[in-house]
Amino acid sequence: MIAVTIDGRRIETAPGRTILHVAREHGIPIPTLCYHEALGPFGACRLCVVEVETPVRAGDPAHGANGPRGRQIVASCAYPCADGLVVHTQSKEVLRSRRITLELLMATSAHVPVIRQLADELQVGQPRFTLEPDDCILCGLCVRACREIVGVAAISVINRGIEKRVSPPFRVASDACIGCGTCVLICPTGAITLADVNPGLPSVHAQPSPFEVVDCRICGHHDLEPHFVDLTLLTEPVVGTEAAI
Amino acid sequence: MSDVTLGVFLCDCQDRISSILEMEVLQTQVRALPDVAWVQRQRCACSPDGLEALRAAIAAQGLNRVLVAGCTPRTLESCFRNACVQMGLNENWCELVDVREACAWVHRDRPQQATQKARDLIRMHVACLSLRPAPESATASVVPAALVIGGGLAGMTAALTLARAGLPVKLVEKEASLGPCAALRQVRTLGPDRRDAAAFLAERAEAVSRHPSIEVLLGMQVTAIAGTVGRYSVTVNHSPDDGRGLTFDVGAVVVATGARAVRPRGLLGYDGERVVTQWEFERELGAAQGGALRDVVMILCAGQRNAEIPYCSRICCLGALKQALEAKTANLQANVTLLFRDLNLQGEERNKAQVLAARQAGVRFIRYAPGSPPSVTRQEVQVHDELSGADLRLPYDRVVLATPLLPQHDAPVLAHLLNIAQDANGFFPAVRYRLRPQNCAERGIYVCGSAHFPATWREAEFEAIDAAFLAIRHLQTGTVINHAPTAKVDETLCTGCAQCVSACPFGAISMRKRDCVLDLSQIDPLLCKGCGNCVVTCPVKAIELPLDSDAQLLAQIGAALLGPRDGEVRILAFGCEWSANAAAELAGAKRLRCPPEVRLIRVGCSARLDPTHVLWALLNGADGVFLGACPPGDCHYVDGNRYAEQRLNTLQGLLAARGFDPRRLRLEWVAPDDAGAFACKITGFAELIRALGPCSAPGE
Repeated sequence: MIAVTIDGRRIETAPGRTILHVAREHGIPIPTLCYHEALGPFGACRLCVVEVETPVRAGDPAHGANGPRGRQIVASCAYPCADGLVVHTQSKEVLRSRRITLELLMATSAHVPVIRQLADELQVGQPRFTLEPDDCILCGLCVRACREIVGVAAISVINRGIEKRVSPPFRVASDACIGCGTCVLICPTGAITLADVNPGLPSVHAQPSPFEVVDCRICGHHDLEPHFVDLTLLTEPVVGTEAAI
Repeated sequence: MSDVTLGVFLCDCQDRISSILEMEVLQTQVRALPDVAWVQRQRCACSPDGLEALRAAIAAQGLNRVLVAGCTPRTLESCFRNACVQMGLNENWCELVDVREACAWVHRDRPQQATQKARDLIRMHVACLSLRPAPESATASVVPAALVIGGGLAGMTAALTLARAGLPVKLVEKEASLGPCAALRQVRTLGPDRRDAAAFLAERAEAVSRHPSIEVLLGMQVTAIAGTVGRYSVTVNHSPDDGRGLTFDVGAVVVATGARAVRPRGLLGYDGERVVTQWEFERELGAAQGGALRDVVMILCAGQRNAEIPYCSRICCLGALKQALEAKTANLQANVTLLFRDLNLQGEERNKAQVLAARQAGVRFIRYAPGSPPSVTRQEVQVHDELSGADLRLPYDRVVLATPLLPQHDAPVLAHLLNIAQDANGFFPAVRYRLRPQNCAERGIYVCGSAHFPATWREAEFEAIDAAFLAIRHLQTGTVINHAPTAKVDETLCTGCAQCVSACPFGAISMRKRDCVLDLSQIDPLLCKGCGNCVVTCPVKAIELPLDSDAQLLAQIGAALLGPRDGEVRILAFGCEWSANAAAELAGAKRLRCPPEVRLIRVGCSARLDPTHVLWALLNGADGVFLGACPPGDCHYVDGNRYAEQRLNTLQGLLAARGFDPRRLRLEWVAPDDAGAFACKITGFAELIRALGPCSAPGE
């Protein structure tokens, strides 16, 4: 057993636990969005941050356990406990960090109840920034659940930075999706539906459509290869069709 | 069962469950249940400490069945099952019952009813779990060898890909030489870059015949396939009647039989001389006679995309564009006219460039409507130009018809031998089961190229490599395991009526001779996906799903209806795992309000619900029975929902004839991600049952 101190409480625990595990086991609240018990830690949402005190010069015999200590902000869902670790879950720095994270989340997802509730708890008001509203907060739960729980990996996170999205490969309906709905169930904000992963939900004997068709904008009712009109007709209009075009 | 020592673990989920449910009351009630040897409350059952405590309790109390009352099984059940497997229990001896989403959250304003529902759910699962055996998963080892059927481009490519991965390959071709069929052999150039087709294919054939791991069997065809997943025993012969066949074992089969070109007698004046197919015209262009032609009319979609052959053969538009350009190149003065309905350019930019090139070269494009197709007389082609509205008469030296590619004549034979499906057109569709990968053993049968659907040479090549890689993965894995709850036949009860054979959507059931008297049903455990349709279909109840048996379901139904009535109605709901059960879990997660009288039982597929289950429920005091199934066309077991609908309709009719209100039975289609619709439907049903009041059991 090892001993850690969380918010002044000395707690004995088995080795190999993360700070979040120990805190939850002992009723110390830490907010999370991207953590799920069935999945490995991910460290994406940065809401579970806590402040840990660590020896500045670990193992320096001149100081011992009572030597000078540094402080750093870490993600508690991924930080393993070590003997003698001192954790603060409500310090000024921690709250400041969580509030900034939440303010950024509010900028896109202020309409999502989960986000609004967390904002109320942390007393984050109207965000200073506004971005295009989006339900998805990129916590990656759906992607990880699909891979780790279901075992099919029908969706993944694509692009980087502000272009980051959850999408099936190449943004086309995923053949791998089995329609189990685990992604929908695990999503904390209700952002994903099965139609996002696999529009049309093909049946077992589904056959891919041989080609993409659109309505002809001249006659309005025939299937037509997209751009065909632009390619063949507009370059050399056939007599009598100008009015139609 | 006397050897059952069942432990129930009640999870507080920190305080998300315990803040709503009356946990002390629940604990006392659960302890009083029969078969329950141990009850333990846990603050957070899924945390490392919680799992450690669970394992310790299994060891200390000698538990052999574990029920955790916590959150939705969809996400966390495997977590607890793994912990139990570590302690030497069978994974099916552990279950997670949802009292958080289904009880605490949906009925958070009625804690007493929520607690009652939690108690009932726990009782139902205890009753079911204590009856559950521990069957072995079906496994088989895979013979590391492959068979490729068809020696065209796709077949040769697949064989080479497999052989280069170090696997022995048998390549069976019914013609006397490798390469495409006689019609496709006429093609001289491939694609917009005009690659020399003959040289390309000869090179590929050379590589195949030289490769030491590939054995090419020319002039032979597959006449019998025995065995099952992992080891197919294949017999090939020179003709079906020839007794001197060759038999060998393979673990994977790649079907690359291609498609068939036809001589379309009677179509648009086809005579093979002035009116020809694209294949014949290709030969003419190659023989440098194309230069003599003045008027060429090409008719696209000739004899296809109509009522008889509804599909598009996909390669003729590109072929026509190429040939139009070649005819123009051969004779600049030639009038080349292309009559089309649509142009299938397959979304590729360079194919669009071909259209522009053809227009610049002076090829005329005339669009005709499906309702007024062109007609060909001895002198001219008559067509109604849809865009200008003019009736055109085009003189011709040569009419070129873009005729369809058809499935091979022997496709039904192969489909039967390999136990694979044919689509409405006769091709082999890409079958993709929407089931959990562990419940769906890889069969090792792959289709590529035009056998799947008419494909361009590039697509055929790509599909062949794709199919070969899937086969390589299958062969190199070495074993297949099917974790699905497979069905078993009791041979002492089976009467050999064979109804189960047609009820199985996966072709897993066949009839086997026994004693020269009876044919008995036998189920291939590697092909069974556990939908349970055969169990319900069997008129003598000779088939059973050990992991989801009738006894377990009836015990669950009985346990659900055991509690005191308290003046309330009792509603039993059956939810297909892929639709209603998923939607119910989602409704809980979204905290939508649902009627607290409903007790939901999860079934693998709506086809698992036997009418006798419904009768048992009604006899035990249910006032209404609800079945939620996948919407039509969405069943993960092909058409289980249709079977369920038919059975419920029949039952409603029978009950109505005996004076029972058929409205007390209801089947609803539920989408798995539409929690709102599910909550709405189940609430509507509960309101109806409340209005109808408690019912007396239907008289015999």
